[in-house]
Amino acid sequence: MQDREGMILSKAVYADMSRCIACHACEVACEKAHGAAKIFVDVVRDRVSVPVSCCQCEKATCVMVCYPGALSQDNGSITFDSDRCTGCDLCVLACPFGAVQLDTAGVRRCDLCPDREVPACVVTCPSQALIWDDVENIAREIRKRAAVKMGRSLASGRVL
Amino acid sequence: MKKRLLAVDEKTCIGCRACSAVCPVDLIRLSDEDGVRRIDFPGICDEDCQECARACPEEAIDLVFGEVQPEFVLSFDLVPCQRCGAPFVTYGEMDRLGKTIPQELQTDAFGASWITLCPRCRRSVERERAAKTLLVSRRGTRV
Repeated sequence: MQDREGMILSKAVYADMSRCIACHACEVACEKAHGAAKIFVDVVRDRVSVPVSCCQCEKATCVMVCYPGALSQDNGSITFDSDRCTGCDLCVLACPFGAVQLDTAGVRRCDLCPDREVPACVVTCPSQALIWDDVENIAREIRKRAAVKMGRSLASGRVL
Repeated sequence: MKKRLLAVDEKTCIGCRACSAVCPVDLIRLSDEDGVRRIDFPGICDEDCQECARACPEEAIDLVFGEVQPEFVLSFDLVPCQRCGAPFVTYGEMDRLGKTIPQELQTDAFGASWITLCPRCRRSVERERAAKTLLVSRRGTRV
């Protein structure tokens, strides 16, 4: 849900960074499901761990530059057809978030695990930092979490 | 004796990885070194295959019959990343991206251009931004 101007997202995996513990379990789960990880966790300034993966942009620039039509977008979801991929690397260069990589198997980007009910990374995350839902539901969940946090700090006498 | 030759139009070739990636017999070789991309093309190709010509985004490759020609090399200067300085994209690729991606999507919500950053730096910038938000909200809950 890191939405940027002109890039609104449909159903997505949202990362609640305040809960991410940098255990890299999501990367391992992704690698196990797909052969290579498509989510990248890194610790910033030794204090915050931030996972980065495909944002499923509504106006997906990776799809726009894919001239053989290997990447295509239908109803918001982006699919990849390895038979059409030429390995040109343009999608990698066209991703604003650096979330696309290319290897011998083709394009590596989060496909939201179409064969699973819930993406592998989300199922695995031990701290429930990854949320999988419609964008509106995610927003509701985030508000709920913020409210709980606020309640807790008030109860413990901390000043917000 | 006439042979099947690889004719590449230097002016239209943007130096992407397509032809080298699809060649089933590895006759086209690509390497990035010292800020320059080098693509080695074979002079002749006897394979019954059109993959490189078909894969080329600029239709710069033709397979023609003619007198035997030697192998040849096309070189492309790589554009350095504006954040870390690492060369990562050819000018031709950059130009094609600039033409294909609508202008309004070439900058982020803060008006900064992401297209001139290498993919690794794009991830870092995204992380830095996200981290800043979280650190600010954490400061509020400190005792």
